[in-house]
Amino acid sequence: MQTKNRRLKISISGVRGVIGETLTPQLINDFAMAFGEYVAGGTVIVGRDSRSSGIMVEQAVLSGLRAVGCQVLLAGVIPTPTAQILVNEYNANGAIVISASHNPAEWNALKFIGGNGLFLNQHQAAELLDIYNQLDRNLVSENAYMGLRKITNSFAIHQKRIFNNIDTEAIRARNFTVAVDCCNGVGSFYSRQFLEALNCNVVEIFAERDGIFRRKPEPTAENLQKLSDTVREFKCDVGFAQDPDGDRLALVSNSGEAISEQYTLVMTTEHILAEKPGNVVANIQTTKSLEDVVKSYGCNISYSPVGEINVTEQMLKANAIIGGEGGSGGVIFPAVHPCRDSFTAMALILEMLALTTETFDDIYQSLPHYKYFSKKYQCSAVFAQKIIRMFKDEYSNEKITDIDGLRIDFTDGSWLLLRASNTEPVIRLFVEAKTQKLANSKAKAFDEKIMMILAQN
Amino acid sequence: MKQLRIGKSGLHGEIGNGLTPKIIIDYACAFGSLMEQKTIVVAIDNRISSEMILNSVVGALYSTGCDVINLGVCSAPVFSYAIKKLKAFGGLLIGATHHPYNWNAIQPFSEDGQVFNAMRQQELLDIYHSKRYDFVDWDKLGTNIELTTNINENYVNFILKNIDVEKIIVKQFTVVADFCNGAGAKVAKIIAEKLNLNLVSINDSVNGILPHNPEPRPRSAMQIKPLILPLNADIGFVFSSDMSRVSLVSDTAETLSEEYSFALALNYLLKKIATTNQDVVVTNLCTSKMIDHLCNKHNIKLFKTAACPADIADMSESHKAIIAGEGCGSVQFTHLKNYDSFMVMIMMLEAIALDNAPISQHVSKNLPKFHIVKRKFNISLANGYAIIKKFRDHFSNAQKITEGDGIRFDWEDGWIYLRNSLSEGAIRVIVEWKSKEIAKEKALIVYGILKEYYHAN
Repeated sequence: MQTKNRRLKISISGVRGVIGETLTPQLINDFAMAFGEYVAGGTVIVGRDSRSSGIMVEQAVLSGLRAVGCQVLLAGVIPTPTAQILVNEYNANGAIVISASHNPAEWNALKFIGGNGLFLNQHQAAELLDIYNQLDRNLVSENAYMGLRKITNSFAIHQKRIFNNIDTEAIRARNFTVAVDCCNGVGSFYSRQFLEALNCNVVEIFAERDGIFRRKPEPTAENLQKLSDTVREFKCDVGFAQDPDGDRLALVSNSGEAISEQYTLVMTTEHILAEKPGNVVANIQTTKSLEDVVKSYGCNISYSPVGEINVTEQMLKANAIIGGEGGSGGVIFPAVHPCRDSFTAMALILEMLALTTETFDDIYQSLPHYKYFSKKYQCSAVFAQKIIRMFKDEYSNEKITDIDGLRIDFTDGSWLLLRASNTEPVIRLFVEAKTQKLANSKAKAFDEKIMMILAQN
Repeated sequence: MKQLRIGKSGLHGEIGNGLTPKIIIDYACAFGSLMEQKTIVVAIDNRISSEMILNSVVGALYSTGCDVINLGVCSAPVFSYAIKKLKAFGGLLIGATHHPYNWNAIQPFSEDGQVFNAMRQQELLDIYHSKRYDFVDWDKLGTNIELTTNINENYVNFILKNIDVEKIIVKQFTVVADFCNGAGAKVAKIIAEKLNLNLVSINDSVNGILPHNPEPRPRSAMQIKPLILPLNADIGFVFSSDMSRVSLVSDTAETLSEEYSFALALNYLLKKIATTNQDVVVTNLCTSKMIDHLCNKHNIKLFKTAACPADIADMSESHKAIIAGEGCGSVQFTHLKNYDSFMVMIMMLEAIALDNAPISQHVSKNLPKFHIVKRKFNISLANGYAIIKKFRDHFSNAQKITEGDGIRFDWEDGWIYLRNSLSEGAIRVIVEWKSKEIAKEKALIVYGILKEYYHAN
């Protein structure tokens, strides 16, 4: 069961907790010190999303980094991908991003980025945790203190990188009308001017900059009703839905339909491969529609565990041209930076529309489609592992992928994923099949068994 | 050895070696819990590490739901004034002031602008030691409140209220001042304009470099001393970086002991206002006998307490003292519940203007000659208290022995005083005698005995 004092999660995704309970200034400060020690001092970028608790967390982070002698480059409210780009741009030793991404408002988190501009991987995260758990910190004396610098043009650097890699002229020539749902996140600071720079007529919603989320922060179809209405009302060419820290993107078609987050990656991949073939990497939580698209171009797709860094590392190894996390609307386009980036994704979608006479809906309808069943269960990580091992034994004669949770690819083309979340104490069941009936029937056996096991405990 | 002191004078310690961000955050969380989500004023001095402490404190205050008005680099008297003026509930003043390089400190203040008295300190430390803080939920976190008034300007008008400004203006005084690179220079400039002073200031840019020993004393005055005669200056001031202490240099370029600051202020006040035998002056147990002499002469009461700003402030409050001060160069008047060296400066100028006599004559005519020797014996053992008590055997021939805050031995012509510093790892030795030679000799004897005991451990 999820109890109040268990709402802390230290994982490969960073340190997540609830403000006023587990994510105390003491804990934040101590992690910031440990990170400063881990990157061996030097320059560290600090950025945050628009969450109102960000200013508290930021103070505790600054104190920790300064106390171990780091020079802080303070970027203020910026998208998470911008922080990753800044690390490269300033040749920094790392970055701390203060953002709980799509988690509800009472949560906040520290995300750690290494000197390569990528999130810490599993091994690096373990090294950081090792330092965190040491009893002594290498605090510096006053003569080793470094002054703080503010960076005021962070997003301009990011935007320039994107524009260098897309056909801005083609987009500008079309004078698109687009709606953007900023979820009161970092998008409310940057999306309008970004899209206007591409000569779009922009209709913004949830763009108040106070960090109070007026819609549920996950950009899933059921949370995008207002964006759908807006797209219809203003006859937009497309609707964009961001998450609070601007790494994920969901789409609303020109007919006003909020399509599954999965299709952000499917559509951008379709667009990239149509121009130039290349390898694709996606996490195992990605729709089979992507695999169909990749194969139709005669290209290779490989699967990675869930988590941005896992996809990124595999993409770099495979020299992938595009990739990402289908299930969470995360598009990674390494030409700009090997990170999930809603701004790059928006630019790619606009470029796709600009280079064709078809509407968004025409393109979307022409893609392969699957139906899905999805459900999450409150469950501790330890217990989730037990459940997964049990199913693994039971289905050992099917095609199994166990790099992260349990994925079963059935011979009828349907597939199933059972996996514990990195960010919340839940286990998720996801089934995809050509028909809803097949998806539901495949899910039923699992759902019943999981419910039964959980009821017994 | 790590250096940390928590007690009546607040929180003091060595940066990187005792005064850690964790302890600062705990202390500020305890303070925030005590303040029950009200508005708090914070300020820092010029030391480089003060910004780290500010980050720690502000993060902690936000997390306990306190809104924060940040005055930035600000002197102690203006800080006290601001708490009342801005109707805040309390304040945390960050800064090392007269402490050695690499030390820093935090002092807690109540809503009346007075440093916490013993009772409030007790409340605060009970929370601090319990390590249980009143963290608030994400939507109740504190935030930054922008300062909209020019607090320095308001403060200067406030302190000039009962001053004969016209009399000073016509004199066109030349004043030399050393601000130890602290916050005082900015405010002094405003005062200089209003009083038509030719203010020649040195060490007046706010930075963390200590230009000399940060305690205002004759040896810290060596930089302004050579300016007095060539500039034909009327008076010179050496201020501590937070304006809580001051020592004077006369028009004849004599560097006066910091003991004269309170004595001269008292001497002038007793001329300026009519007193009765019910009026009270407060000082500490180790301030020059000049104060006893003046109080006797004017037939007013003198109360003595421990050498600690909190005790002085508390005793002044309970006896409604007309003035309070310490031999270290601190003076508290009735306009503020804190030491105010700006006021000392203005009172000295008014004294010279009204009496039409240079400051050197005020010294020679009104004050008896004593010689005071102050020594600091650095001690890194916890048994300083025990060592001090052993001196009872050495000086059993004293006419009077006062114990409590340290120990004081009185003879007809002089006195010896030993105490553990509340803010540093040191035993302070103070000797005052009519004869300079005897004072020096006695101090040497005490120092020798201390050395013997220290090495025996």
